[in-house]
Amino acid sequence: MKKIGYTTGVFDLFHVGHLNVLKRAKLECDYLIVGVTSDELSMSAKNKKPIIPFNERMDIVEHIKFVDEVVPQMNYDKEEAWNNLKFDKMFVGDDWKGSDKWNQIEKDFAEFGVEIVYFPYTTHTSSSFLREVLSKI
Amino acid sequence: MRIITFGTFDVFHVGHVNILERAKLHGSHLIVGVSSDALNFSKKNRYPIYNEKDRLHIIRSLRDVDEVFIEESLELKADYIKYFNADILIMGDDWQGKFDHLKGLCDVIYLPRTPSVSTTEIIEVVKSSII
Repeated sequence: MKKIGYTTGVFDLFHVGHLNVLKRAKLECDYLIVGVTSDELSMSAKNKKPIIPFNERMDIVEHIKFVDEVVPQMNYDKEEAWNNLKFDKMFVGDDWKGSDKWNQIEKDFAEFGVEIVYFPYTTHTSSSFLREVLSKI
Repeated sequence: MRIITFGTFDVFHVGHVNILERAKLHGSHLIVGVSSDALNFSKKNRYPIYNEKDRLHIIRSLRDVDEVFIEESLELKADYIKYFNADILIMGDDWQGKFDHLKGLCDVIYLPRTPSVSTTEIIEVVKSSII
């Protein structure tokens, strides 16, 4: 049975940290679906508008070898995402591991046979770091 | 047909994706030379924002790209074309005419850049978003 994997992100100022997540996610599944966060959702959650427009962010992720399908992420409802995509594994940054929120999500998803897999972040770069560097040029 | 192209691909954006996608339409095997950090410093007196290892990694991971290498010197274009057995050299049209002298070695095609997308523009947007 092919395993479907799912991960989400804003993927603003695409960098090697994003690439590493996608590469590792693909190693652990057969078909990787990536949810790209809409501008509106990012605004409502982080009060920050992504630098790069939504359609360009989707376009970039679509062009990465490891990615099989790209979908917009319009809300944080993971159950709704699962109803639509029926993934077997969801990949998440490991800063969430052990949090109440994700412990609960792990339990809820275990009932559907969905595994939550945590990945470490790439330490030498991030979109926030890049924003800072670029603003000083 | 084997295609070769060169670029810095710093602060990776959809303009880069577009030009590589369109370059690939001209053949079956796309080879991309990514300029080294040192080469950039010698040209622009600053290092790229993304280091050469990361830039290479990103380009290597694109669907349309078959092979990548680090471009060490601008003078070596002819050598790279011969080494990689390229049939076609493709560059953005900001280089229009500058590689015509290589037409004896391979075909040379210049493609238009994606308007309104560039690293310079991204830098402008970042700067204006910081209050």
